[in-house]
Amino acid sequence: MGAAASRHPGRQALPGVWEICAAPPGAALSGDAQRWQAIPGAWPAAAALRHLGQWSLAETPRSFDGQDWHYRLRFDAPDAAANGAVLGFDGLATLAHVSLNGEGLLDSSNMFVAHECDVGMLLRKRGNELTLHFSGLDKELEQRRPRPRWRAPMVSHQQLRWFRTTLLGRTPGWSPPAAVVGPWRDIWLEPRDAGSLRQVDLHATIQGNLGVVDCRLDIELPRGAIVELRLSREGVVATERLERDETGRSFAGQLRLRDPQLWWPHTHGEPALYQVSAVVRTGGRTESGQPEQMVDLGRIGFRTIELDTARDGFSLSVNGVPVFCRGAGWTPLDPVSLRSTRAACDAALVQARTAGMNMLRVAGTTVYEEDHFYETCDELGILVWQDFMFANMDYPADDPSFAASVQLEVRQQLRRLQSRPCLAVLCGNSEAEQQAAMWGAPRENWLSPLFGEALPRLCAELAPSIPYWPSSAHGGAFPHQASVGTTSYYGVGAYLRPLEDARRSELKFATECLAFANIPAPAALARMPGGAATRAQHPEWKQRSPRDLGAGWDFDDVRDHYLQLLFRTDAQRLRAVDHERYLALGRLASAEVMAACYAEWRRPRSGCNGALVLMLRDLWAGAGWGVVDDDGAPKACWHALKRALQPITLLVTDEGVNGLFVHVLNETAHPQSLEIELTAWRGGDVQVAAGKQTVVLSARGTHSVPAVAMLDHFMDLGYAYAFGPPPCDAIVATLRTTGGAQLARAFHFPGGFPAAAEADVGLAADIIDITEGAVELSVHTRRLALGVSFDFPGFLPDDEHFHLPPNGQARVTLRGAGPLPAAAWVHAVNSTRSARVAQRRQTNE
Amino acid sequence: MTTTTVNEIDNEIRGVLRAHGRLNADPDQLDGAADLYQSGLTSHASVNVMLALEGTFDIEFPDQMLKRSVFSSIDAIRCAVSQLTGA
Repeated sequence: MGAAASRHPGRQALPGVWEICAAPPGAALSGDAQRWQAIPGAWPAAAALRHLGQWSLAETPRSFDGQDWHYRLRFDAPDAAANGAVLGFDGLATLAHVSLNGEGLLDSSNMFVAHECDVGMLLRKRGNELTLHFSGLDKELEQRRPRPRWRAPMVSHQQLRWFRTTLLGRTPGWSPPAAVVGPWRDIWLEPRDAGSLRQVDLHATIQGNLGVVDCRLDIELPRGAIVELRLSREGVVATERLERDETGRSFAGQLRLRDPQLWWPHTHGEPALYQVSAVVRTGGRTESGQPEQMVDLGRIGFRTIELDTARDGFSLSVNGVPVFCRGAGWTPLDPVSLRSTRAACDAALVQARTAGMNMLRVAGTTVYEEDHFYETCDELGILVWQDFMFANMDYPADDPSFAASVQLEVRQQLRRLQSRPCLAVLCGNSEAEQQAAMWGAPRENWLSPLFGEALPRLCAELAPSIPYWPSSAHGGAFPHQASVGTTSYYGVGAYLRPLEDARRSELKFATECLAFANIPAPAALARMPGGAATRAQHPEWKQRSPRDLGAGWDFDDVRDHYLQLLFRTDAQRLRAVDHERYLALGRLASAEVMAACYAEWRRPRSGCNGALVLMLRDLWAGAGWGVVDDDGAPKACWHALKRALQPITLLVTDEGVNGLFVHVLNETAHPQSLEIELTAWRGGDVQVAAGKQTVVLSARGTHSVPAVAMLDHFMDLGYAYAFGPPPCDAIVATLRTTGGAQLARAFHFPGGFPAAAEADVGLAADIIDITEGAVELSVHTRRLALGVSFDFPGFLPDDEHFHLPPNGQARVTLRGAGPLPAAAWVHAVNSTRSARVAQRRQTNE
Repeated sequence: MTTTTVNEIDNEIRGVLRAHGRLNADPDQLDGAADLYQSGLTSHASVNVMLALEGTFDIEFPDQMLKRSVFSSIDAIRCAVSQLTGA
């Protein structure tokens, strides 16, 4: 059996050294008078200049769209096959003219379209010159074009609607000023001789109890060649011969697998994947002397996805099981290059999964992600809500050239993505209908035929098994109505509504929500241009706080509003007199608001079937929308989400005169025997009530119980009746396995969060174990501790910003590569005195 | 500026108001100095009026002219349009 070759055995990056040169718009290059600079690869201009040390995000913004950018590569191609070589350009941003050895090769005006050029005749064995010329968008934007019927305030230039390019870098309110210009995906050379695979079409579906794989391979093979499709998972599972079609250049067939293992999002089951390969026997021998060649076709999964919009709702079911979708909006890990290494991408996705997220949205303001992003989502069991790259604007759908470009783009992207089990929804755009409606445009203009007819038709043709949805905010009397269909939900958030609005809005599905200027850890603040001394009202801080342009407020103000609401503290005054405490409460405020909202939305009787936080990761260091900072370190809100989003968890809600309710959720496929413990406390350390209940939850089951049912007397735990002074000020509900392992814990404070800090809650912390790259701490508190955090330089804790009940104890692992710090501290937001981490005592060995 | 041109501009403005102003009165009956906000013009509608005026007269309203006062009456709008067309 021959070693498996990749799908593209001969495909390689081009040899040689890339060079870049900036030029005034429209200027022709005059020989070598231009200043060419060598760069490590075919990178976007900003990434290239950053590498050369000539520009960084910390400097005054530079307009990359204001110049032309030229790229040059001089290379040899000694192995260039005389009869067929293909030069591929997987992404060129945005107005590009490409020449090879003086001959024009292609013109591109769509950043999201890949090109392949047959260069067999043009390529020389030695001394090739490939040039790329990118025209500055600013000059193009100056041309008069018909005006839009509504405006999108967040976009820097309204006529960007005519150009197939990303909005990242062109939304001054929230994305770093580094618009991508230049090559932004691979450029490659591949010999196209006989036997190379030109195209693969794979469709995996479920029909009854059969897993069905329809496959077509475009491949030139000699007569008598045999092609077999092979499916394997932990050993070979199934094979099927593919037959040559009438053209002679394709092989097609259908493989059926009885009772396949299904692919599930990780919260609901195992994301089972099957390896697909094609085995080709030509009768002769391959170069390595093997009788056959095996080509890796990637991996597929068997699953069904259905959308149910009955009763104004929006509910996704996978394999017939309704799934509560939760997660965040994904953005490219590096906003300057729009690329990521596989390792970095995998780490970011594993982190999202650890937080209990089972869906990520690739929003229309960003870019279609790289293959390895979707591959890892397939592997980890993370669903993808995929927008097409349109956002907010009035796109010129009537323009034939625009429409044709979109067709090509969408066909290519669908062909690339449609077979992926992670793909859950294909969505026309981000907020285009909402923007039109909010702007005051007449109703008949809200939904463009591009998103109402053209795109759904393409999706039905190329990705029929995946639900199509016209826009991220769609459904209802107006697109952003929360109680119908999907919406961008900012009731709790930018519109400053009380936490009760999470329920009152009757939210069905938020494709984005919970946008705050989330304060990161001190290490991230130190990376800001002003450094660790930056204060929240300084221009350097404000430059990176997200804002809606034209509004008289920003997202710091939104966070401050909820800080005041939760902690009954004047945020502005606190910021003035105690900036450290202002940051600490600010971190906790957005975290607690997110936790409270998800508790509402996951509550069994809620009509909500999903909510995605606006942004997973900050685009640059600062108090951005991300729940993870620009370097990948979790913020307080990431930890709060992790506690709120697990498949087996416990939530507490305040049902007013009905008292507190405890809800236990089991999304897994197996029944769970669990124990709920309830304790109520007064004054920080006096227990006034305790109760327990064991419960057996069925697979995919929930259990809701009034907290008082676990006590043998009535107690006004939620302080709804106020017969006298509050009987308790903290309620702790803990979920454990019957073996005693803690699975989840929720706190409720009927009088609100303890706002003031007491002198000393009695924190103590000891190192109990040190291993390679990890330290285990035991943290103990005498009195209730709120928002426990670590000051452990060089190490990141697995859990942080959590609360501890009186006499509570927690074991926390902290991970880091370097040596232990000389001093480390544990803080609680309600304790003035912090605890110094005690070193483990040396054992006598 | 001839009287004819003034009338043409006026008619165009009234046409835009009819199509986009969502007024509670017939724009053709309104006095040139009548307060449009009193006739039901909202800031939402004024934004669409502005877009339509840009399209009709091939002008662009700069940010500093996006004020309530500019759209307060047909006369005020005509003034702004004249300024921007250089007439």
